[in-house]
Amino acid sequence: MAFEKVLYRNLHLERLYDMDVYLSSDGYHGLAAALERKPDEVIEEVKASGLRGRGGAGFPTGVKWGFLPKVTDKPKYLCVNADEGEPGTFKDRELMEKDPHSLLEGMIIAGYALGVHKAFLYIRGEYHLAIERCQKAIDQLYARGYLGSNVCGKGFALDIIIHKGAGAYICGEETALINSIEGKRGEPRLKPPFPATSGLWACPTVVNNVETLCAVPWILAYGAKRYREFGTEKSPGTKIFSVSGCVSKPGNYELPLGTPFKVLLEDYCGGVWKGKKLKGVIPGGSSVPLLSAAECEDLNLDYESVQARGSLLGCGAVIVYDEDVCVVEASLRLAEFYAHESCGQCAPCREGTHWLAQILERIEHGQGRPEDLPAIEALLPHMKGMTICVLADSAAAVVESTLKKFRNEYEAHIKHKGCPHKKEKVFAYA
Amino acid sequence: MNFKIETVEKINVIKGQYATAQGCILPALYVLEEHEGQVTPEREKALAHLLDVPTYQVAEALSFYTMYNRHGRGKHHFQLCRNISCYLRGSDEVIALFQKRLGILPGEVSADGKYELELAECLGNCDHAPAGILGKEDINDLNCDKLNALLDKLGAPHGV
Ligand SMILES: Cc1cc2nc3c(=O)[nH]c(=O)nc-3n(C[C@H](O)[C@H](O)[C@H](O)COP(=O)(O)O)c2cc1C
Ligand code: SF4
Ligand code: FES
Repeated sequence: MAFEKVLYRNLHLERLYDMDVYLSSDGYHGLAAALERKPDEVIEEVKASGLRGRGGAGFPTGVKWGFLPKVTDKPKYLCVNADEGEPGTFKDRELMEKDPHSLLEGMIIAGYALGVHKAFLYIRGEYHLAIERCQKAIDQLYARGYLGSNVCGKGFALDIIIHKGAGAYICGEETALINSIEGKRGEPRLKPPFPATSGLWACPTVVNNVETLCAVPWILAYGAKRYREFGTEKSPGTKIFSVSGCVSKPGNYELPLGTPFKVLLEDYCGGVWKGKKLKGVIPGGSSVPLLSAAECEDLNLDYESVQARGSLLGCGAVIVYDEDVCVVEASLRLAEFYAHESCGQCAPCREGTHWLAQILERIEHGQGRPEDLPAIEALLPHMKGMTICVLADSAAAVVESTLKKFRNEYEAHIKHKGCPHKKEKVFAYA
Repeated sequence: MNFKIETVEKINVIKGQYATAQGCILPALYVLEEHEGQVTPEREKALAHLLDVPTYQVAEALSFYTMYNRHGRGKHHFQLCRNISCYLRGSDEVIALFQKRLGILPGEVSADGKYELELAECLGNCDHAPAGILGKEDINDLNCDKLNALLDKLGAPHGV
């Protein structure tokens, strides 16, 4: 499996976050190549690469950029989504901490291509080091004329502002993120209108994920054709897989899309932790259905293959369960998370996430009733496709998939009045 | 009430960056926290006045966003992750140990004001699970021994 590292091409360099180190490699070559072309040609190159959004939805980036109106009397905005709150995901953090200039180069290229003069970089508030590194890198760029009123002497203006998040997972949803920059509650907006027509301050806006933009400099420097040499026809390029949970070597691994799951697990992550057997895998962050070990046997990690198995590649966060994991308790943990993070605008989500958490809590702690499982099954359809954003669908996904694939475990909890894996509640809640 | 000069200067920079006064609220709250301290009701009102926004807009933001310091913090503010990847690698034992040693529940500050425990959702540090944050520093690859050692270093009591 020959491939080149795109996102991690420079990660071996020490102090890569320093602009001089980045420049000593291929830093800002992509920007130089972009500035020699017309903005439209830059968008075409990104379209040709087939790059798909790495924030979760996998929408083609070049196409998204093409939706932004060329002529408008309003300012246009770029918002970068570095809210990274999806449980199991830690890729954007590493990119920003170790290689902030790749992201900023991608942002400047996007700014040039889209005719944007102001970009907001929305970083979650807990990412102290990432915020510090990105701010220092931005200061360097202003000092050297890569940002400001005359970017690289080419006569176009761009400002980049870091907007620090303040602790809300839902602000990762793109319209909630926009509301949050406007200083409002981070509640998702009904779509349409889409951000491309009416986003930040009702102006045309593009929202992109960090990893998405980090791939852009390489694509401009080395070409869309070469990018397509990695990955599959419909999922071109490389992707970072954030692997966590029960594996020997958790971490971020950049691999071509379409890499077999087994290769990722065995060759990169050192297999299941403590030599245990695999029980299941959540392949795309906590919001997607769990796949059983059997379903992962010959699974390839690209958007289409994972979807064909009934799950989603999402943001590429691979969460591994070993044979001893209690799926009921793990699902409860996620159900509580979604109940806590629901913004409360939609009844099916506001009520449904709490009901799910309550029923699972009951089952896990020995008070489950035989009618609980049919109750969950009756509830789930009302949470899917009924709400402003997909948080409710996400909350339903893991519970639905584990209930389908490991129903016997749920039944055992109810029958034996408690968790066969653990007898007591370990820690108390406030 | 009056803010320090540096607070006002920093907030003026922010005013130039955001298209509306309301947009300045979240970054201005961070400035306020950094230079003035805890976000008290008086400071909240004074900020609304400085930004020229209705007070309800600041109150609304504070009711939604959880990271601002409105109630005072323990000297050592621990955030321990309880979410899926940390759970899978033993976060519950670590959290239980913390509670046992300090005798506080999540959301509480110890009686001497020194220790605060907050349960966190995924901190984006799952490759170092169980993970946490102490103040602004990440704490990686926690286990009971490591947490005990860390608490010993801070001089925490052994059980309350
Ligand atoms: C509840 C929810 C949370 C999300 N969180 C994130 C996030 O933390 N980071 C991110 O990039 N995208 C997140 N997304 C996806 C964004 O809405 C959006 O699709 C993405 O930022 C677009 O960028 P991309 O096209 O480059 O992937 C989230 C979506 C939902 C519904
Ligand atoms: S689905 Fe949930 S999180 Fe999304 S907008 Fe509705 S209530 Fe808010
Ligand atoms: S689940 Fe704990 S840091 Fe991600």
